[in-house]
Amino acid sequence: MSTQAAVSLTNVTKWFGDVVALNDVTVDVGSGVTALLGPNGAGKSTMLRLLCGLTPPSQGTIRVLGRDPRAEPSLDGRLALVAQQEALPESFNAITFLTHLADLSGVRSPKDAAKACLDRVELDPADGRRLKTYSKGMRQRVKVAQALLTDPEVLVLDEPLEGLDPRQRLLLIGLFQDLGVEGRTVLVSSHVLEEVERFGSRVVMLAQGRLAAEGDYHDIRDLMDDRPHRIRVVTDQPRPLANALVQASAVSQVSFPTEGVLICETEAVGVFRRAVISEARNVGARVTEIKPLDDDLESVFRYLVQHR
Amino acid sequence: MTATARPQQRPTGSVMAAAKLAFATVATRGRLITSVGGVLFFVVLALVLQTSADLTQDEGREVAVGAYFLLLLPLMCVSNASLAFGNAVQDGTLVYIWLRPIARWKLALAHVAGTVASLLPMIVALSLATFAFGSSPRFVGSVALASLLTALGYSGPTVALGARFKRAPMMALTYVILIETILVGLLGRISIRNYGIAFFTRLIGDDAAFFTNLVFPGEDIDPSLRPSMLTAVLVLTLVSAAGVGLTTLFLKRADVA
Repeated sequence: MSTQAAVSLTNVTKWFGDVVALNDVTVDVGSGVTALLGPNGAGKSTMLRLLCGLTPPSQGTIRVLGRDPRAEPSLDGRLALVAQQEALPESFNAITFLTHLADLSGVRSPKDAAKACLDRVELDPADGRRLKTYSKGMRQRVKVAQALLTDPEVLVLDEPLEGLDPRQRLLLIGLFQDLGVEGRTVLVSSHVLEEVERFGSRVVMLAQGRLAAEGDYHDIRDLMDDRPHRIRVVTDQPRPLANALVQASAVSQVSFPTEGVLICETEAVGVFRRAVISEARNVGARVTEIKPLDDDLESVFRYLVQHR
Repeated sequence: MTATARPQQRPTGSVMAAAKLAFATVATRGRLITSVGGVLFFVVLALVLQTSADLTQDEGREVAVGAYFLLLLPLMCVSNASLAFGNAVQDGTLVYIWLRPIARWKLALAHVAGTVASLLPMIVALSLATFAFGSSPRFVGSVALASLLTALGYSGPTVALGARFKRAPMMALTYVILIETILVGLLGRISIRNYGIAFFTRLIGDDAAFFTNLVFPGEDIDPSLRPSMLTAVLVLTLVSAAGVGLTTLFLKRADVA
């Protein structure tokens, strides 16, 4: 038994003519849900296509479950993709389409498998309408359902939440989380950061075809030491507390945007957290909230993208 | 990081499963109506010629069969075969087929088989029509067998075209019109249709005179346009096999959108 990342890209570069879509990217992705982030044109879809074997890398090595996905498409059904494009074969209805694909994958009882997958995304297997009549949200769920047919160990999802209404988004986010908890590797690309935060905190960030960061985004934020952390403190005595924190060298800058609110900037979050409690006790201030203002995914993402 | 054990063997897709999908993709209601309707049109044409052009029943039947081999069969073959993969290539749904655990050669072979199967209603309709015209069982069987072999010959390379080029239907149609019709005198050796027709005329033997004159008008027929039965079978089978091989290669090298 060997221990390895489920998905591994090593020095992968992909160019289309003169355009470098992905530039010397090395990244490992393990089990659970990982979000792939990046602005438009960052190379997200190219990376997902590469690791599904849909296009060969210009340079570098790609391994999924230790195998080459270009040489072994879908790795016996262990790898599945929800592609970004909306197109589906229009002349089929959902159950027929999925039954054919299950049959094509060697799944035992293809129709039962197709029904189960449609049920899982809350689509009616008895719906006889052709796929061309489906709304964008329904098409999106058909795409997710077809990816589940082979019970894949690695699931690659390219913008899977696009076109879904809020309830369907919740449904699919829950589904992806469940798949991650089951030990599968789920790699989800999205540009809606608020939703990505709900998948979990593990991210791979791309910017201009390069790997900008990978890992837990809270950890990434902590590593951005050239930028002070901004922390909001709600207290009944903002000025005495601010003075005490400055005296204790726990903050580099403070401001008072509104009554009872203190915005602190600090390079050392750990030191600040300890200081704010002790100094509040010393000055007799009652602190009701301490909240990081730039520890969210969006802040980390903006910082990394703007600084490349 | 995750622990990855030696993977267990999983089931993979079969040729039959892929052929069913190919058949379902190609054999749309519109194409079935067009192909069977085409046969009916030639039957009516034969009946009209019998009454207006003073042809015998046999002559009328052979005009209909000749027109079928010259026009309807090639057009339906290239139309269906070019769309077997062509539909998926054009509308961006190839990814759903490509990312399935099935060998590429099986996919290629199955799409040729599915295309030939999609032409069966037309072939059966023509066989029944010739039988209704009082043809001998040998003639009916020859029509069916030659149709199948010709369909196989067309389907292999045209499925490959569809897997590689978005304009495959237009390219295949150009081949039929330019190579097999306008330039057939010069390029008869590379006409799939001619090998199919040669096979048919050899099958029906002595009764082939009228039919041969219809298909190859003129007194000085280039011998290369009339290959032997063995040559016809070999060429059509090999062309189809080459098409399967090319499709396999195209699928392996495909840059799937």
